[in-house]
Amino acid sequence: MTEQTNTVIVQDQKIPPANFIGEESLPISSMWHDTVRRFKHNRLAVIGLVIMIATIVMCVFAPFFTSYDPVLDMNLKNCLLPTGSPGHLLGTDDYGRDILSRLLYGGRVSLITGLVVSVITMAIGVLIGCISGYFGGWLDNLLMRIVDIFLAFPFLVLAIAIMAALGPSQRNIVITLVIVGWPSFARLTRGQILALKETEYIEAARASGFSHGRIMFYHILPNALAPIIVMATLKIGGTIMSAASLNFLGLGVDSSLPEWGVMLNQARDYMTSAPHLSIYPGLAISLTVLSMNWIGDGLRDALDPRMRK
Amino acid sequence: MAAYIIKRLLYTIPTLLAISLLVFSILYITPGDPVLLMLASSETATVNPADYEAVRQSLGLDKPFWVRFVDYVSNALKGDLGRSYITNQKVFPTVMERMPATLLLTFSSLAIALIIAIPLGVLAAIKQGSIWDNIATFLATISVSMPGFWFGMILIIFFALKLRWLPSFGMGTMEKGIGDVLRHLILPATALGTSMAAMLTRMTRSSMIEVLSQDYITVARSKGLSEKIVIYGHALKNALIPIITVLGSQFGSLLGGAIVTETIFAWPGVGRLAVDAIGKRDFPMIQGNTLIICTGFILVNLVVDILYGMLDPLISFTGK
Repeated sequence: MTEQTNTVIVQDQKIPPANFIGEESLPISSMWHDTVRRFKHNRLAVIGLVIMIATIVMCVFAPFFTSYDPVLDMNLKNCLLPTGSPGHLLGTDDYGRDILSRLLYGGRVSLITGLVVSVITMAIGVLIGCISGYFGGWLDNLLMRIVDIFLAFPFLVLAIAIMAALGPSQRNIVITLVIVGWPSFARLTRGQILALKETEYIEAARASGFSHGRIMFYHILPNALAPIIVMATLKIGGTIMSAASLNFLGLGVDSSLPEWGVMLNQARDYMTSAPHLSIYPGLAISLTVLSMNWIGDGLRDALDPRMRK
Repeated sequence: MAAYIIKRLLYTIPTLLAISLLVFSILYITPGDPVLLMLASSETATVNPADYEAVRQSLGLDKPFWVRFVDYVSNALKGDLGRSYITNQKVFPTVMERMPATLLLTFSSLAIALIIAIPLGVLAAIKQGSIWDNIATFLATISVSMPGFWFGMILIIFFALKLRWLPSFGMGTMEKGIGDVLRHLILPATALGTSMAAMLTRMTRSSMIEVLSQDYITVARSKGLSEKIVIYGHALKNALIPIITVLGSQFGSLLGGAIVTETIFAWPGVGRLAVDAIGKRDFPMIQGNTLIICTGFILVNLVVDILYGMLDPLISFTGK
């Protein structure tokens, strides 16, 4: 499809537009062009993207924004300083550590967890969904019953039980959230594949003698991608929230490490004396998840106008 | 109808079995020796080999995996989920004792969510594009993005610690009257219900918009019925059908959220029991808790499915 579009564009440059009539005289735009154009028109989606990029830049380049180490720079003389204290913009925690630097370094953990979990769950879910939807039969039945069982669990209850078995660490949070996350991708992909499998162009591809793998990944999947991409985007926000919940319950990373959920857990002891400890990490989680949701909604509208609510 | 319910019940059995298998395997793959956990007071304490073997046999740990699994399931059917490693109390009664508190919390938050979401969603739908619609949609997006436990902490800081209007932890006692329990219930139920309310508002809105564009609404209007009757009598009833199905599946996220909310508000429910059990690595308690919560969730979904069929005559029980 892209090859075709390219050749037309080359022609477009050679021959002056006046020679075209009807539809041909309209500017040619690819699917991605359209998507970007529609995305740009969605104000909330653009705001979400800006917030997200700002968050990523601040967390990745954290040392440029703060001179404190998030773990080692303790100073008990300066503990629980309020917001706006000289040298500590957002104040300090119970060990006198700078809250801003803990937020920024903690954001690295949250963002990476969100991204990694989202990509792995998507990969596993899409692969299983493709196999299930494309081949059908007993394999489809078996895989979908497994998916049903996973979806029959309350998400967080299952995650907590698995975390209890695996033991606390950030790596185990990723493993747990992948285990509980893939079934929804598998079900979504399967539904898409089932609908596309019966179309005529797939029949044509099959008649041309292409291999199953080629038809599955080159012909069907690209056309099923839009809702999968949207779900993956929303999954990043969802993962950040679930990981923070697990960390908040003390099931995740070491409590000395900076992480938004861990910070909220520590803040619980100081809700009377230093409420600002509770406010900032929650704001950080909410803002990140909110921007991911706006981006996801924007992508949904941009990728396929029919999916618009 | 009866055939449908029986079929639906039969479908539940393999799901429950699979869930018990999964929950059972979680314990099986867990690193650490449960016998040592029970016997040793600390990690460095030494254990008498004879005692070790005796406890191992009494727990049935010397038997192969499948035998133990079948034992576990057949005991579970009799309401015996083993004993806690820590307190040696029976798991099933301990969990069931905490169940009413959790059910009170989840159903109250469900009620709060519905009380907020349905009027707000209807308002947003009938005034589509207006300032009300924008405010409702915006609030919904923000509440969906807030972690419920953080919202709970903010509620505690403002309403319990600063304003001192409401208590911040515990459940109160019935001896001081129902008012005491209700006062304790308001903050945790609000914290748990808010994100659900946000989601339901969006659903009510889109469902109402869809229903309002149907022909029978135009007919009702052209008959000269008042707008109130059209909206509440004709449209809302039909718009609620998809919402009820979502309620069933969302009940699971409420149960999950309850675990975190109970921890913040020191609410004496099964969620807090589970978190405490994880801290003490009390595996029979974790297993039993997970199994009971999941079974409850599946039964709720079963009831919702049947209700859904009764509400929507278009769904045929025999088909599919």
